[in-house]
Amino acid sequence: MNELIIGGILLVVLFGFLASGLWVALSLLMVAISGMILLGNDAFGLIYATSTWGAVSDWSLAALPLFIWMGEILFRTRLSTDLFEGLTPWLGRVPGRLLHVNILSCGLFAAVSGSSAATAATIGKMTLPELKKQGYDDKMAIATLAGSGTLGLLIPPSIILIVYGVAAEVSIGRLFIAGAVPGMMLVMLFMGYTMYWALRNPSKIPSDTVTYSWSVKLKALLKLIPVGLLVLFVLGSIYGGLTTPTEAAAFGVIGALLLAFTGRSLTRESLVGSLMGATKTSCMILLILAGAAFLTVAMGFIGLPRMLAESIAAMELSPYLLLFILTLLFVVLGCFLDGISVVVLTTSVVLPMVLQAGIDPLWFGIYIVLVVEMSQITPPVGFNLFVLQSLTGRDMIFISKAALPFFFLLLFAVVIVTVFPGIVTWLPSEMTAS
Amino acid sequence: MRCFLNKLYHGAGILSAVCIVAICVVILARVVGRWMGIVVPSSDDFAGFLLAASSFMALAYTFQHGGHIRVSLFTSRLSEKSALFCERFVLLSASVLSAYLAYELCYMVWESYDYEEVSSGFVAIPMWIVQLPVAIGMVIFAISVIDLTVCSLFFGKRIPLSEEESLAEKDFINVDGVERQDSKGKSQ
Repeated sequence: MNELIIGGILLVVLFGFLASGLWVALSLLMVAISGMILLGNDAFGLIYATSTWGAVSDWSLAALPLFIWMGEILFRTRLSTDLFEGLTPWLGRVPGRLLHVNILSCGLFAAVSGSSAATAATIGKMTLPELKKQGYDDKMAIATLAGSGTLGLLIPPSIILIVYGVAAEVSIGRLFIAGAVPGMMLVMLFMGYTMYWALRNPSKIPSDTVTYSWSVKLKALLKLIPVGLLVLFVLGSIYGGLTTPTEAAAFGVIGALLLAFTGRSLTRESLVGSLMGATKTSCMILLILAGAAFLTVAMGFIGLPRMLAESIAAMELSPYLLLFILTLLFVVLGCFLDGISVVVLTTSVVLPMVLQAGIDPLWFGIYIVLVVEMSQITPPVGFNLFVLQSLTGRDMIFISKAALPFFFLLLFAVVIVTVFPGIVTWLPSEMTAS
Repeated sequence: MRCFLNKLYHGAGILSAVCIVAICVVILARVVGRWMGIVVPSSDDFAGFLLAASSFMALAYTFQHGGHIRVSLFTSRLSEKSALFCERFVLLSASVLSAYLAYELCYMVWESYDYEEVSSGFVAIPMWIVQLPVAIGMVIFAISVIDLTVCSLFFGKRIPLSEEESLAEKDFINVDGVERQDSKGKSQ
């Protein structure tokens, strides 16, 4: 049978199963098995078993459950409160004041928690009532939360980057380094836009400024030090080449436990809760990765990715046009699939095409995460928007409209990173050189 | 029967959690050993084996708690009756698939045992021992999927919502855990 016909049938199978609500990992397996049957290959059982074993017994993946556990422990501490109380006095003079607390605490919290929906919910639950009480504009409060909730996908130690690194065979350590500059760029874009907005709309933020004395500021700083040290230690040891990401993750768990212990939020209940939560999340991700590993092998047998890559080469498509088409595809996919599933689906089918077009896989990892972030707040179907809808009780149109500027900021970031790929690749190549 | 099955899923989940703790310990031992000039033999391999065991032993536990991701964008808009129909179709497909996958993984373990394969690292371990948890985990997963299928067909039981789905659909403020934790933090 022709590759193209098989590809078409598989696409129907994939979307049929996904839309009817079959679990994503099982849908991937269904597609892979259907493909092998259509091809007339009857050794797929054996191939399934070996590719699964190979995928899940990979030691570099051990970073995944450990980072998730670290996040789950910190999630159960007073970290979110500490961030809020610690950041507030320092942002009193910046235009837009407390709105920046939303952005920065989301950025920091997301860096350790990894789930954008959970970040938006945890931070929002605390900041939204406070912002409302002080008379900030509702729309902007929700918008900053929607936008910065997605930051966690990019800022290392990001779970989705580990998944991409394993699936695309790119060094996880290098991906973490590559994510740093674009992550900071996004935070600056968000804060810059918020300042601009605050200066344009002075009526929509409360006018009376509480001035914080230096002693209050220093006291607030004390609350930020423990988590700051933890992030610095975990990332610093990876960036400095002292440890592998997996080893840094193990230290991260110990650090998070220490933090919880000294903050007196380490109870038996919270310890067991964090561990079981991490077990569930990492099991879910690994089943998807195992499914994707089998799908990749099956696709290799069918020859679909190679054929796509060759036709792209024959068409002499410019990389920019290819990226434009891929961006559209990812945004559509991201509207109903979660980020991790989008990434593994892509690496099984699209990656050879991307490599063929001469695109750096390291850069592509950061690009795809940015696009997935964007799809999380695509109006009116992005997943973060649903979370904020239930959190605030406002209707979807209001939330979508509020989040729209941040959607465009993310789009702008994608464009910048595409035009100046050095933003992504400069730091990793610099650090590998030294 | 119900009680036994729930205990089976939960027990496997706990074993999986123990594996994650063990991964952390193995990795820490490896680093600390490196500082002191002691090589912990095959620590990479062990971390990988533990990861495999951990992720497959937790399959059923995660499934029962709605932890596996599925797309609910379309099915959540269906009427009650057609949604149940859809879930039954999905569960039946998943039952067949998971039973088949469990068979294949068991066969892999049998082959490793039969050919007396050993791991390639410094410490040579028979492969069937480290592959066994993966096969057992998949078998328990298949049992839990079939279990839910039977419950869906005969008692109309629904597929459990994931945490994120309930986050998006219910009022988050009322979800306990976070609320309770805050008050506890303040009282101390």
